[in-house]
Amino acid sequence: MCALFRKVETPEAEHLWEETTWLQRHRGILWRTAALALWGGTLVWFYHADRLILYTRPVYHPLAAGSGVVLLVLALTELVSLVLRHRAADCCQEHGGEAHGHAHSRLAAMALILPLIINALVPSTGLTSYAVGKRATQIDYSALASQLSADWEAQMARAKELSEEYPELTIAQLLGFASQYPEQAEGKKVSCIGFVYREKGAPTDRFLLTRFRMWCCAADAQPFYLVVTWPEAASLPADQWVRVRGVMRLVEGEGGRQPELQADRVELVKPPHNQYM
Amino acid sequence: MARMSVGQRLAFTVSILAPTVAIVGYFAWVFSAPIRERSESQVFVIVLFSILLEAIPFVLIGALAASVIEVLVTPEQVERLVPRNRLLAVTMGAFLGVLFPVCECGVIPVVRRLIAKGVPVPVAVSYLLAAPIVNPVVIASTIIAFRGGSDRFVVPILRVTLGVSIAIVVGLFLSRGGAASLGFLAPVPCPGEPSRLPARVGLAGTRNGPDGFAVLRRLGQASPQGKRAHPEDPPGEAAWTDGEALAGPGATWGDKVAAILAHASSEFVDIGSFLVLGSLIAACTQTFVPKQTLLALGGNLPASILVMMGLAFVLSLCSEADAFVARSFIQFTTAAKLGFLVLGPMLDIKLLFMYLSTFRRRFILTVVLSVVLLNFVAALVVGLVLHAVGAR
Repeated sequence: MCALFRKVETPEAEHLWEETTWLQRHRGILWRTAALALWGGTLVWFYHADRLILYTRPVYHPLAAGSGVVLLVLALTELVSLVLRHRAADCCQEHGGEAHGHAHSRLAAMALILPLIINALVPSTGLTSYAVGKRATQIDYSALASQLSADWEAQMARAKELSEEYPELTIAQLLGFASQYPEQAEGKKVSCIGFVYREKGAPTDRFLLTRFRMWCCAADAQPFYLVVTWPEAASLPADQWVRVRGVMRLVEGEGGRQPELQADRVELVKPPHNQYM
Repeated sequence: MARMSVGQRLAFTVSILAPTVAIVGYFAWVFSAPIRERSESQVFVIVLFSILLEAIPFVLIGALAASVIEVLVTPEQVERLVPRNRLLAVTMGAFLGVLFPVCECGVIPVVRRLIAKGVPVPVAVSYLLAAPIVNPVVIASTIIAFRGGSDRFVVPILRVTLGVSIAIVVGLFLSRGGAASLGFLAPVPCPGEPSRLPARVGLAGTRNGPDGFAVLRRLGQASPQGKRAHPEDPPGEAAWTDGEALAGPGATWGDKVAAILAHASSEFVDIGSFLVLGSLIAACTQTFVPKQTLLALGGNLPASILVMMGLAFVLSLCSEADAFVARSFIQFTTAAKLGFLVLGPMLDIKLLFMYLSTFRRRFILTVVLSVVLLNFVAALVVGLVLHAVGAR
């Protein structure tokens, strides 16, 4: 069994003990406490400021907030145990090898803090066209239609009640509905929000109205896009969020009839608080 | 710096170190602005943080559960509960995930403690591999994701079946012929100690037997009797001190709670650091590698299965949501999607790094190779059968 253990050289441990101060002796615990406290604080703050919406689905937010609280409690426990151990009469004998033994703990805590530093340095506003280019794949809208059509019907009913000329729907709802009920979709007036995405070499009178759909976290977000035809499409900058009001059309293309939105009006809007569908 | 007093060090920090850091920091901030504002950086940070925010709560739950096991569960209890028959024990391990559901991130600290408490390695690994798939939430999300499609029954049923089968087979493989024959167990007897090769080598071994200690990294400060093996070993490495020694029979509930919290802290920081490393790489891959490149490689059945397995490895998604992502890959067959769905919870970049925090490299290699091979073969068989039946 002793072959499996890490051997600590006794003379070195004694030397370390003589040379170290309180701070150095307890470096490991302090770094660990810092990592726990920083993450706990970040989670709680993000939840409070509703910034979690950028990263994960709302259903996971209370869990993240709860974890933040638990992490803060753990950090507090570490601090308390540190203070108690320091006060104890025989603390110094016990901690003879601590400066050596906690090197790994320190590195681990630093690694844990690293993403927080990265996040503080890089302002993240949302997934952009760059991400669309990397993630776009063929999407089976009919597969999603069964999930989305219930939303569609409720939405249309509510819009009728409010007598909205252009009922607002998400891109996913529109695409799902258009693939399941193409005849009903043709000629419908709708309003839709998304950001502008333009493929290289695309005609100047159209753009792709895009929005990401997230199932769990941003890592699995898939872009959904709807072709929008508008004469002044070229003037819209990429990644600009817009609200498009127009008429749904189904146009013959490769792979059958594709939905298209003939825009009557396009207005620039601020990015919605929840960027995902 | 080691020889300066606290007062001298404070003076040095305030007058020289802090202003230097501030000035360098300011210029670094200004000059790095073009990099920071690039789309790649933004996407990278969002993806990185989303993976972490998703996984950290579950790693924390796992760390707390592991600490509870460390402090409250005794090896005697474990020995009473584990069946002696190999197949039965490994099967029990695989289905344990139904009783104790964990996410794929949270299962690793729990398994580490289970092994340290004497749960045989094959049983623990079986639990590790199957738990994220038999988790009721994961099963439910698979059913919901594939609702309304032609494969709405096949996929959830096969996902669970294949996952459990692979876990059992890997468990049996680890326990056949005694673990010593696999080469990663080499208990070296201390001089003066008789060599230990108990009759049940490969399954339970002795209590806290050589099997568990040999596959776990860095484990070793606690001997089976709960005493420190070498007096020089620092007691501060709370992750490896036997919890029973800290909160033994005489301990109050207050002591036990304190011990649980202390363990949970170290466990979380330890495993969390590996989670961060894995997430950094997964986020890089997601940010810089276009999906189309990977997907274009999937021509025939074997290639498409490999591509989907590769994608599952690279995307490092949670098992709760990967069913929805799998559903969206319409150009792939059911077999390829199963390759994605069964491998994902068992192995991905994030998990690989967390395995590295807990197990020795040779052991990880053995398990990883078996899992990948079995996954591929199983998905291939499913694909061929479906093709023969006429389904896609």
